[in-house]
Amino acid sequence: MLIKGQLAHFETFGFLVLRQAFSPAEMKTFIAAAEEIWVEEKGMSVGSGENGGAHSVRAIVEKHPKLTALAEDDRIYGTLEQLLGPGFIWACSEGQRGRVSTTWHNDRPGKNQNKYTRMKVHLYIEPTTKETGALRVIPGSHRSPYHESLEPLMNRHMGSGDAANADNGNRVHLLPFGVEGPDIPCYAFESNPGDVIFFHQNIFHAVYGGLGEGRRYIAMKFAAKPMTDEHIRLIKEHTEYVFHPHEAFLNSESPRIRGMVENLKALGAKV
Amino acid sequence: MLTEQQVTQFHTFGFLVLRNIITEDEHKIVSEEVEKGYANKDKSEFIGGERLQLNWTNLVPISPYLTSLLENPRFYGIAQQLLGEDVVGFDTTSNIMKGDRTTWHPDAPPNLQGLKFTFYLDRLDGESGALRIIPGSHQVGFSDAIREVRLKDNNPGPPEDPGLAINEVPCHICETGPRDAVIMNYLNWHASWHGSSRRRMVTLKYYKNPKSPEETEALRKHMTEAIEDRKKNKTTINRTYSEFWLSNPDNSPVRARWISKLQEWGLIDKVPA
Repeated sequence: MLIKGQLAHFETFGFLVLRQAFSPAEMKTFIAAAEEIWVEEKGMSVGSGENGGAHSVRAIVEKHPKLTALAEDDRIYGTLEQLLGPGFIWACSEGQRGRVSTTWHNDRPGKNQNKYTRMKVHLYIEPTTKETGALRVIPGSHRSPYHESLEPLMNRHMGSGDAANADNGNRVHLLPFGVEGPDIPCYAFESNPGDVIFFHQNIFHAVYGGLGEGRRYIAMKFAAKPMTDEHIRLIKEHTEYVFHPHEAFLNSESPRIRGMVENLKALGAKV
Repeated sequence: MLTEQQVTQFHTFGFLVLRNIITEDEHKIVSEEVEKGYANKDKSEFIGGERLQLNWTNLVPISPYLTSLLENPRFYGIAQQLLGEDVVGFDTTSNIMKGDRTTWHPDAPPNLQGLKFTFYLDRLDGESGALRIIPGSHQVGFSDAIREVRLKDNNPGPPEDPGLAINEVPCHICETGPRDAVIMNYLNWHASWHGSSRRRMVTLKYYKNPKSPEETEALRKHMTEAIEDRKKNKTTINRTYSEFWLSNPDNSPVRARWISKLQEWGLIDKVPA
């Protein structure tokens, strides 16, 4: 159970960290399961191949029962019940690996997108520091009007511009605050295996620094119970796939897992 | 002067770090004037709870260079860029902090618009007392939300939920060198952690000349409280202005305008003839 201070932390800053939520033995199990899927689907080791060995495997949690157990574990599910309220839904998972930096962005840009809460939960497999691939977040940046004032950060993320060689007009466009991404004021979630971060997908976040042999993490996505047609529209704008959950979840014997997905097809067809 | 992007950065995040804004020679003079001021102070006047802060105005004869910095276009010009042509120079202070921490706080109530330049004169990082700031915490809504967060040192919850320690609050740490300055909106939440037993800080403070009814009311209320505070506390930071500064010996039109405005705000009773 989260305590009041933790709930206020999430509400205020848009994220919450649970340190050492999972034991080394549990992490060993999750890592082995994730590796099975990565190797099966990509056949590569960490950091190798093109693009720094960056690979994303969609629905990694759905594809391995030992990872599916994570999604219904009290430390994840119970926490989300408190942060998102009852009836929250599953919005897919991914397994990420590679050495790629990510410029500042929020996951759900667009009008009214920050009015409906969607969340991501990350478990990092390697230790991370600010300079070696830790998730950087701008605390409170899911809140209006702060959120909107940061939207110029998306220019760099959405485009392929090179600020160093841009003319003055484009430079202002690509560096709206006059500094490169690594120098944007932020908090770095420096983590060790077993730590978990829950964050609002409208919070601005980024990753910079030397990523060494690469980093790996398991990400799970969730959304508050959609209550209106507008909520459904907001989901569809970015993640139509939410309404087509994985068969393993649809057929799950776990009431928690099935409960997160069983009405999604019908909801998606509604709007 | 600031670039357009630096101005945007300040208004968005509520602060800005200026690297090497003073020269090595200036750093030497400033340090000497701070030490002179400290030697002059009654050491029983340390205030401020855990931060143990001794604070005095630089608008006095023993610190002529620091006095001049408030009107120096390098700083005053930036203050004008950020808060308007008619910004008002309010004070410059020197501070010695003996405590190892400053708890999380903004410097002003909602709607009061102002900024301060802060110079730490020594190299500081996250484990040696560098300024910690919650970026954007001057913004409407966010600042109030932070008041709801439990803070172990100055807004604790019950024993089972005491709140965050200073170094657990998510923030940006402004690592600074001896010649750097941080410009900060008064409304930004800030703190420090693991400072040495003799941390030096110099500030230059400016207020926006209020424009909206909300800004005017916030300033009026703040000044009324400052004047009351001055009457009650010998060691208050809300001190009276010295005759030396009020006499405006060089007939600076900038200072004359500020004195007039500070008088209008009730902070100056009488200007010497």
